[in-house]
Amino acid sequence: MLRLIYSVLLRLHPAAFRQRFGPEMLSIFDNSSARATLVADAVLSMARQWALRKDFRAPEQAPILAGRGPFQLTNDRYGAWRNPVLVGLLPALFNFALISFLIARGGIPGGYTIGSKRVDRTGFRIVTPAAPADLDTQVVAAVRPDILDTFKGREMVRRFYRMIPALDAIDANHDLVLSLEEIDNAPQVLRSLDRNRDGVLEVSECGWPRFRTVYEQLPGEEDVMKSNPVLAALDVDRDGRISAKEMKYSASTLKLLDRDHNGRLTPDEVLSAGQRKLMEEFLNHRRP
Amino acid sequence: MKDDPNALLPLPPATLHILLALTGGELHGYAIMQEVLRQTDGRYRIWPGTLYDNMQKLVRRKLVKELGAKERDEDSRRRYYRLTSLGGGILSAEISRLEGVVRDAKLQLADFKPGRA
Repeated sequence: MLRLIYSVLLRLHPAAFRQRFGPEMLSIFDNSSARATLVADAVLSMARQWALRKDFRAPEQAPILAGRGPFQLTNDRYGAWRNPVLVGLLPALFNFALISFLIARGGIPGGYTIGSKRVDRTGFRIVTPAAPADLDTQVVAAVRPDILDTFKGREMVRRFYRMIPALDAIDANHDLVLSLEEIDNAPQVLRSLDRNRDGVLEVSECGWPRFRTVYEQLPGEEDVMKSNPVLAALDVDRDGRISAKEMKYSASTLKLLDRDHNGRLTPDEVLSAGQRKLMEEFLNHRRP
Repeated sequence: MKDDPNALLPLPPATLHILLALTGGELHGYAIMQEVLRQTDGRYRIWPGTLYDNMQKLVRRKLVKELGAKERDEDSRRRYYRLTSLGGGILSAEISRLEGVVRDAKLQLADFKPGRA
């Protein structure tokens, strides 16, 4: 009962005094046997604080600790703790450096982290979309969805597909749309293109344009491994060829090209910027 | 805070005893009360209301530094206090003043001849 009275009396003290000394005064009360006297003392203390100590009622602002920087402002009366700052700051800097390092080196240490479609060792699925085929010409409008509805449009798309053996092979039914089944079957199809059986698809096996005259009309797309989205996506490490490992994970890589997430790859997702531009010009010319 | 330490003198008895108790090192409030009781052979007791009323003044005047709680303390509500160098200087000045008072008092008492009632 006396403890309850003492607690109430402490709560009746000015807030600044109560918050600062209340818990310790209660601690003294718990350790003392002269509790009735302490209650009387609390009454006097309360009267003294309200009547005579007006200057102390405003809570003190936490000090800015000299030399520790302005970011350590705190409401803690005892100032900023060095330890929590270290605990927060050092891991943050470490993480920043680690992520910067992974991004800078292409993000494929062992093919497990950034840039890989595989689940990494931490259990998180880290995915980086394939780079645009042509970073210099981001330009081109999407191919109209009705391009495949016309005979000439289909022929033009088919012609572009045949320029890229890998693309033409993956489109097994030649409907000019890469279905989910065809994408999942991409590793086997790509391996079948390895004519010399060296486990690697060179540009001559998967992407050398059969109709070079057409490519000569597309400035900036001389390097088919970079200009064609499919080949650029498959060539993850940008070494100009598709390795066995890249073939193995080709299905996952190709799914990154599915920008509209409809589960299939349409011409505007697999053709190069220059090709799409040509098609757009063709359609505009045909239907002004 | 006043620039001249002597402006704080003379110290009130409670303040003097609190500062004196803290010369032994860092103490929490209850320990200060016990130390004052020990130093005065139980003749002077500081109650919590007086103790913390003085403490907030001493901390604001930077005669005492509030250290906060200690991790391994059996009661986490306890906060520790330490005498600052300024507080030590003030206490020394007060002791010197008291020594002068005692010296004068002894001289006065030596010459003091009580009159007959």
